[in-house]
Amino acid sequence: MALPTTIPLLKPVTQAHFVYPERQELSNGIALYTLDGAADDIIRLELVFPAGRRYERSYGVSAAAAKLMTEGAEGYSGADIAGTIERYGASLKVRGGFDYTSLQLHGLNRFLPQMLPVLQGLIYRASYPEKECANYIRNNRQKIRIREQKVDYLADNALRKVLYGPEHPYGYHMTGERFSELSREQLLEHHRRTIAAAQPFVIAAGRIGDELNPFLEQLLGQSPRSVLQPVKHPAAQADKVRLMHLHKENSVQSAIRFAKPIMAKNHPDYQAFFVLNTILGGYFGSRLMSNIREDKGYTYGIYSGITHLDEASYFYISSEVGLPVCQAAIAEVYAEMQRLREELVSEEELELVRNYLLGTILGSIDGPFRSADTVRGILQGGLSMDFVQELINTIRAITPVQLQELAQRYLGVEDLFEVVVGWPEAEVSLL
Amino acid sequence: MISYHHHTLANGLKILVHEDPSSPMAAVNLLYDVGARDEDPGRTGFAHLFEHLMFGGSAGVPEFDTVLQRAGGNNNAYTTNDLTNYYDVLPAVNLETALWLEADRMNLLDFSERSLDVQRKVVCEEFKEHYINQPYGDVWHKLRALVYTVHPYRWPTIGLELSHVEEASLDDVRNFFYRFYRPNNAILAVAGGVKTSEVIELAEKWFGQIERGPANERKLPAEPVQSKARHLIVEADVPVDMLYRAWPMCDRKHPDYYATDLLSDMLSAGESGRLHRRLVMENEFFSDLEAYITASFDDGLFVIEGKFAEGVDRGEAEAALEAELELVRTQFVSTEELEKARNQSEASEAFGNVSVLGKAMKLAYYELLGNAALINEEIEQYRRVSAEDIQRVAREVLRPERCSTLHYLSKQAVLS
Repeated sequence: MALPTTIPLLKPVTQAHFVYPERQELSNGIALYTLDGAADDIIRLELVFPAGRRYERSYGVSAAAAKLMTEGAEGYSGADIAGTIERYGASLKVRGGFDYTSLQLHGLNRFLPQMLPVLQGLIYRASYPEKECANYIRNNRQKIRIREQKVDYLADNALRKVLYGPEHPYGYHMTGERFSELSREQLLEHHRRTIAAAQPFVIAAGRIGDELNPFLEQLLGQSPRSVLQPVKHPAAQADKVRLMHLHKENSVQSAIRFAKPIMAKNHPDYQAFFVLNTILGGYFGSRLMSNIREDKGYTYGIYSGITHLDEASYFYISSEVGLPVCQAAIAEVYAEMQRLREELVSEEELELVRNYLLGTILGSIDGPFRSADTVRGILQGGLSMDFVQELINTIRAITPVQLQELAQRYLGVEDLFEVVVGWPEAEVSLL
Repeated sequence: MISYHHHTLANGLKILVHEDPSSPMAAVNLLYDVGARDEDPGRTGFAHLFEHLMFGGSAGVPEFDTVLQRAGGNNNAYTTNDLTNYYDVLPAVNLETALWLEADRMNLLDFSERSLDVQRKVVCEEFKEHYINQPYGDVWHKLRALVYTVHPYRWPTIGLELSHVEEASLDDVRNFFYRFYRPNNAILAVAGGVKTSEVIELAEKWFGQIERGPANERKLPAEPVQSKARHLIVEADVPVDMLYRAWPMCDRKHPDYYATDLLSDMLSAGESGRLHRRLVMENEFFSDLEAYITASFDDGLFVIEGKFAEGVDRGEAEAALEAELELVRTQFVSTEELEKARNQSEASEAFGNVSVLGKAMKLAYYELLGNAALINEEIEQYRRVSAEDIQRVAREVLRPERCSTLHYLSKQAVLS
């Protein structure tokens, strides 16, 4: 059966109205950003503390402190804390990262007052019970043995190590021994110095009502909080060896990774590089996906991206491929980078990527929750709220010549690391 | 309250529209009533392989993704044992492009040897990445085969073995397409900054001419009632001993579904669930322990999955688990636990209704279950569940003679 033959005309995204968050300050100076607009009585609160790996004094402390924060506070057991929060239809996730530890509460506005005492308890008086700490250490020693069998985990660890050095907060990886060395005192010290005393920023999204400010004043505004400096650590030191190939017994796939240090989000080239990355491997129709998955069937997926960290960001390419095609896939990755350096991107491909990105940006500011994620990225990158509009302008204006210049400057292979775990041949080669 | 409009085209395509004027985006969700349960036992994994082929080009559009991305959209799809679901999210001004793309591949897929060849390889890599090259990767192959003896739920969506995917032919592809990918076997749900009249008009324009296919009458073998406990021990090169227990439970439409779902929540939802609190935190028998249900359209599974803590006596750990199960069979859950479950379901519904894609997906899913109105009614169904109901389903479902137990043990641990 024939369908209508006139295909629909595409309409450009002309309007992307980013509703700027409203900025307020609590009485002790903590910045609060609110994004209002939800059909139901729901709220998502995110408290972002400088408390990640850069602020820890021993290996693994920030992640352990984040994970165990909800396991007890003066006057409350872990069961009390979980029971109270969940009883009121809420959920609390604490995530420890390289730079930040974030507390994210999803809940119903009408129950915020009932949850206040418990939340105050875990922010100011988390107790890190001995038993839960021991439990955490034992379970993680077990989990790490499982992870260490996975080529993707091993490759990601190796990559950060060669990028930053084995002692750097971004570069080290946890081992069974390092878990065993964790102590309750270390966790308490970390918590007292960061979550209990340092200045966070707060993003609230959903239905913003009158109950929010008094709630946050009581939760965070009562005592002074300071701007925290990272703990002194070795400077990031990239490895001198550019290739790392590790064999793994019985593996049917190879994890392949490429990476190099890249500019920060506030660098003048960043937005254009973001477009270049999209073309290379940043979306499903990217060159890497089209070539290595859709044309050759070497992999289930291959992506490139940019990981932004406060101290040093990096660009990466990542995939798991069948063992017999490992070398062929690597050769294609280099060929695609070379093509971007040597050939102009066609107007047609660029127009596709422009439209795709503008649609993605429109989605990333659709409603208060998506916008809150975007705002968080802006704040962590130390950017202005105009970033979204500037990015839209860059995407609209960028030319094939600019992209080629950028590829020549940033997609060279001289300082590109290549890490493979699950290398087809048995001998380990460190070239 | 999610308001929506319901319409059916002459060729049987069901359409649901939800207007959300606050969003600049449109979500187009097209659900086909076909899943791994509809596969030939000698050709398992086919529904999922076919999902991949749907992106390999159609009669009028060589590259689905490219056109959609040019319209500022993105898309994906997934296959379960029960259904196959495709979705596109794009700026609402380009709604028609998504409808055209979906209609074009429903009308006539481009059956090419090349596309089949590439996607066979991609799916084989997916099979290796998730089911072979991972510790415990084949656990659901083993567990399904232990619990289901005749029903097609006995294989997972990826398929029983790599060879089934490798041997798929272009004829298989054609037959599958004309049998299942017809308008009368599909549900289209659209949500976002759209107008109902516009959606119906455009759907009529693009899908209206597509011919209906044969009625899809399922005759799946019913699983006989299990009367004796089953036990399987697997020893493999894995780091930690794991326990799986599975009991047959009712299907997704059965009135007891809600009480059974809440029973699994009491045991395991969040950090305050009983199993986590008592057997992971208070008594350290397991390093992880959870209960969940498969929520499938035919009789499903109630599953308990746990990792044994290092050095623990497995017999003692399982006895402690059995004592917890005995508690839910013999005593009512507390008012507080019920209140928690209700507030949790209210919040989860409300947060699930925030995104236009979430709403479009839910509308199509509930329509497939037989009633799109469930999108507004499920929360009430959960509210009606009493402590008595939960105890009753605990007795009914968690019977020792209907339990299948899988011990997935570490070879290293067995040797030492």
